[in-house]
Amino acid sequence: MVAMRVLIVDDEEDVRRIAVLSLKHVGKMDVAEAASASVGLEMAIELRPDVILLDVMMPGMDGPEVLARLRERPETASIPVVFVTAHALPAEIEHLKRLGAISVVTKPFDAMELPKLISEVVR
Amino acid sequence: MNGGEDSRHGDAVLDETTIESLRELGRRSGTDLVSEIVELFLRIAPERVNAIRSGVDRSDTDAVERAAHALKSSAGNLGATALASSCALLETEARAGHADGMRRHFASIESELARVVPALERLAGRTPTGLTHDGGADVS
Repeated sequence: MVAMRVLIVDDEEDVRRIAVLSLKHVGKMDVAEAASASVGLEMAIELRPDVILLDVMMPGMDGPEVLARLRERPETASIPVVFVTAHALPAEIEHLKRLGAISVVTKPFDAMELPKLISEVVR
Repeated sequence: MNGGEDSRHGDAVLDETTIESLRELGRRSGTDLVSEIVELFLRIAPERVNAIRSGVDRSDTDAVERAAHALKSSAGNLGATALASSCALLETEARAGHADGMRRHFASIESELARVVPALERLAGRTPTGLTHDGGADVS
């Protein structure tokens, strides 16, 4: 079985570290990471991952803007995006889904449960 | 690691379930993940606290909102739930543009940090020294 390829885009080093280890070692996924929105966009175009975990609140370009740019390009338009946010209000989560995310993961997430959350919404 | 006493009781500074998940992930990945994330927190938190303090002093609600959001996330990763809640309240006040509320909640963050930082230091096997670099929680 081919491992799911995941790109994590988050400016927070601790969140990335936990997510990378969790998806690699618990989820047995193939993981790449970007510490900024602009690098994340470049990596998405280059790698064409199966799913992108996209932080909502980042300096410079925020998650919704990254998603809009991904949707503008044919090579990234159909990549599923899961928003990751520390704003857990239901209205905010609904708003993010309406922007086109397939799901929303709230921070902090359980380090051992993240792969399950991702697998459930992607496959 | 010896974080049990900080996370075992009802008024725990750190949530034991969160710490145990990190421990388990550390075991699975062959890393000392808890210590690593604690060290990251202790390195990053002073900058964030200073950014909040400076933003509160200048009534810069955008700066306070960003820094409080980031500190909330870091605190949540380590199960420092009361600190994360104080950060969330500050973030909300900043978004609403309430300068007085920002000052009040920043004071709560400072007192929470005075409990959280020594607990994290013990968890990582460090001698408690408090946040450095004028991070606002020197508990020594």
